[in-house]
Amino acid sequence: MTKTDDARPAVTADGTPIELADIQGDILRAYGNAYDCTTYVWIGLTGGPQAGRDLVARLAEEVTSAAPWGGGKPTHHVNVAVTADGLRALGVRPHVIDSFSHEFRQGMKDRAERLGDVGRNDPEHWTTCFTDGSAHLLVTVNALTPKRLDEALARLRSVITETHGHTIVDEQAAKMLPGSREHFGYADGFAQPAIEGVSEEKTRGGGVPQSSGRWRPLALGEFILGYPDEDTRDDRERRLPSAPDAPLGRNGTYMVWRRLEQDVARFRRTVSAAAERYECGDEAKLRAKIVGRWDDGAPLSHYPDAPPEDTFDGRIPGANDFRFLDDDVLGAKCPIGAHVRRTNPRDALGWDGALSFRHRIIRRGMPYGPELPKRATQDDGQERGLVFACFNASISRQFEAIQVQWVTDGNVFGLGHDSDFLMGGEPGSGRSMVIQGECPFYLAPQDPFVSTRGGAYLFVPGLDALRALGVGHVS
Amino acid sequence: MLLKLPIPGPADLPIPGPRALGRQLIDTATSILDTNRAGQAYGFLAITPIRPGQEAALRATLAKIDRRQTSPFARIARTHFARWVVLEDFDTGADFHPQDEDRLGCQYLIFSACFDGDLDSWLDELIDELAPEIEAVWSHCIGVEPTAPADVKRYLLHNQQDSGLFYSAYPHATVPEVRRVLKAQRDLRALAVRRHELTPQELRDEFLEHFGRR
Amino acid sequence: MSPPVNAGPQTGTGTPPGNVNGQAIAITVFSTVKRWGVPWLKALVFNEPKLLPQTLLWLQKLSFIHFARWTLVTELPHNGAPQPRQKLRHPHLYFESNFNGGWEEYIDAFSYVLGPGMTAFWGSSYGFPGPVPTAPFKAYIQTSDLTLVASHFYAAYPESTVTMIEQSLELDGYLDELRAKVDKLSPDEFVEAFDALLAKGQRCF
Repeated sequence: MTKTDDARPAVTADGTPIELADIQGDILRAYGNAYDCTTYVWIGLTGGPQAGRDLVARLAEEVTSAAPWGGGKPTHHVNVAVTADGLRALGVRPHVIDSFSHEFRQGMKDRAERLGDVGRNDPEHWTTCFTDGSAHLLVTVNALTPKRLDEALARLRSVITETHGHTIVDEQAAKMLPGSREHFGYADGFAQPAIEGVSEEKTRGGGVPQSSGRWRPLALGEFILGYPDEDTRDDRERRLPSAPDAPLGRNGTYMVWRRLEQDVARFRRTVSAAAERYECGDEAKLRAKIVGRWDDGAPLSHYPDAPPEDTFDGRIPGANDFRFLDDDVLGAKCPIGAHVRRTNPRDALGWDGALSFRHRIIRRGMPYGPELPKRATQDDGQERGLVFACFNASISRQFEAIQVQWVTDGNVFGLGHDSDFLMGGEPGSGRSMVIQGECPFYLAPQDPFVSTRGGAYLFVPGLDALRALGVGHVS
Repeated sequence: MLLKLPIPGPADLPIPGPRALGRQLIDTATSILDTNRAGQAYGFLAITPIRPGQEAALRATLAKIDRRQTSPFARIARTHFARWVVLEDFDTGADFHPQDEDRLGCQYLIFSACFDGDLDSWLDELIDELAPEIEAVWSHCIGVEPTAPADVKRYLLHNQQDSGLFYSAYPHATVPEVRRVLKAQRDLRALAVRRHELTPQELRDEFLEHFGRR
Repeated sequence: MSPPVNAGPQTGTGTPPGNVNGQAIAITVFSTVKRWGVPWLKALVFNEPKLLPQTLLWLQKLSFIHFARWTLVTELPHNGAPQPRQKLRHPHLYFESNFNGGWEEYIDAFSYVLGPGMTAFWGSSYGFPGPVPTAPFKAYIQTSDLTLVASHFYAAYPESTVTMIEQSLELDGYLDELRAKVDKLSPDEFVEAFDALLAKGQRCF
């Protein structure tokens, strides 16, 4: 939690205290742009269950919680998540594991077909640790400087391998590109859900759009287990959403981690070739139409014709406050299939948001690999892309619904089987995109510019739960 | 309105014009006269008793029938959807039953289909086109001579269950029409993508080639 | 012995494969109706949409369902021996629908959007928990004991969704206008008319 001056205890709408000190950091609030050096360390627990639990106990001492930091910025943060294979490797009792959600237990690899991870995205092209069951723990290290990151990693590696005898099966460094851009050149990470008692300042544009014109924040239980969610918030019997057995369910959440390779050179070539035929604007505008935001993040809904003169600042109140149905039902400003309108449809699906408000995620993505030089249109043979990470209380209802129904298919938007022009769809399926407006533009079918290179479903335990795993209370 | 229903979202509910209103009135009249109809579509449902001891054989027969485009129902071009389902019993052991739930004396075969036009001629086509399947399937049922066309028709009508309400999202579109407009949509989309590569003459020629004139 | 009704592995979406054909899903459900449900369903629920067709507009707008049917089964006709004479003590509501995939992801929305309609149709059935909160409701409509698995399911256009069909039908109307006048147009005039068609039909793809 970045706010060190906020002394008020956080509470949900019904007054339940939010146990920030037991929730891992970076979930509810990002550590912030200062921590732009990140490494994801994947561990295989080859040292056996007891050594696995010892490592977890050791890591639990280092994990950063969501509680306000005492004095000054820590040099780095450590966070820990575990896969279903990891729970098994730790010797967690089967009936406890059975209390976790079906999709988490099944794992990302076995849900590949459903997720559109077929053909070029097929798990057979993934890093092997994500397909052979050897990715057990994910330790994320965020640091202020590369030096601090290296120091923290060196210590961590020695603890993992020398002290406890485990194996590092994958290590992925990631770093925000200048201007908070991702590799295609778009500023990223503006739309995060507004959560009751946590991030209510984002409510306009980040909450649930109401027919009154107002917005309301989402219940904490949509993102952290052990609290009322949007379904149970008004339940007179005060039942809680389903969660893993105590103490694991409390203050934990599910995490989705995906390594997505981006073909930047082909994306640039494609857009610039298409722009030559685009009569309603230039290449910059076509780029904006594909995503729904200009390169600097300014939403088309606010700036339909040209980006703002000053660089857009998403932190200014109201910067993200827009809807689609008020004056853009037909997609003349922000196309109906634009990336931001698909992945966060706000009011676009009608029914007062009923089709979309339960499908929100907290995103913590980070680019990896070297930047392709500006203006280069030929590939340099280097792998680059995005580490997609997100948090949600239900992987199937939240992440998977977005991936399956909104990114990979377009039916609910009235776009047939069109998928997201940037990301979605199986290779070779030849999805195109309609850019609505006075002179509608029909983009030619393209293979997706993004391919899955690995990934896993994880559980992020609360701190108490992590300690319980460490001492073997659930083994 | 009798039922309190939510107001549909995108605020563009169509206000029916006089023609649509007229069609609505005709729809209303036909569906009140025949509850199995929605527009020009008909929903047929028959529930027939399975011979005790032959349940497994029937299931095996049904499992062998091709499903996708080679399904026998594809032979009747005006069939939108069709299904065979085995009903074992009403009392399925769940908590959703009265104490004195009905128990079925034998298992039943549910046969249902949605198709264009009238029932009588569709049944004739069914019996004509699906003779081998009808024999294979209904030979496991009680009370029919599946090789005798007239008997099959009488049997299906005898065991028909009338709909209380039959709904269609596109009650006026026949199967060939649905297929035709879907293809037109694909073709027009492809032509739209290539529009800038073509001269006016070429564009016009391609249009005529795909969509013809009226 | 015949295999149990709900045999077979579940697909990724949790729908038994027997009920899936391409994008299309078959739902077949029997529920037992309380006695007061018969006049309620027959006199009001089944008839009201016929008298006031806009009642079903919400179903139309949601655009998941190709065809749906509700039938009250109060007797099973006799066909001679060896069929036992079947006297039904309770009325049974048969429901079948042919709809698009994706409903599992939107199952929550069903409670919010279709909840009132579902209460009208199933409120008189034993076990119906009411549409909200969604968890018990989801458990009810997902209960595999209630949902029968089709032994054969045919769909004539399995890859097409309801929305795609409705859009194509609308687009065809616009296409028809151009078809009717194409012969009267010069190539340049045709391009203009073609662009007008694309502008008019841009929401139909």
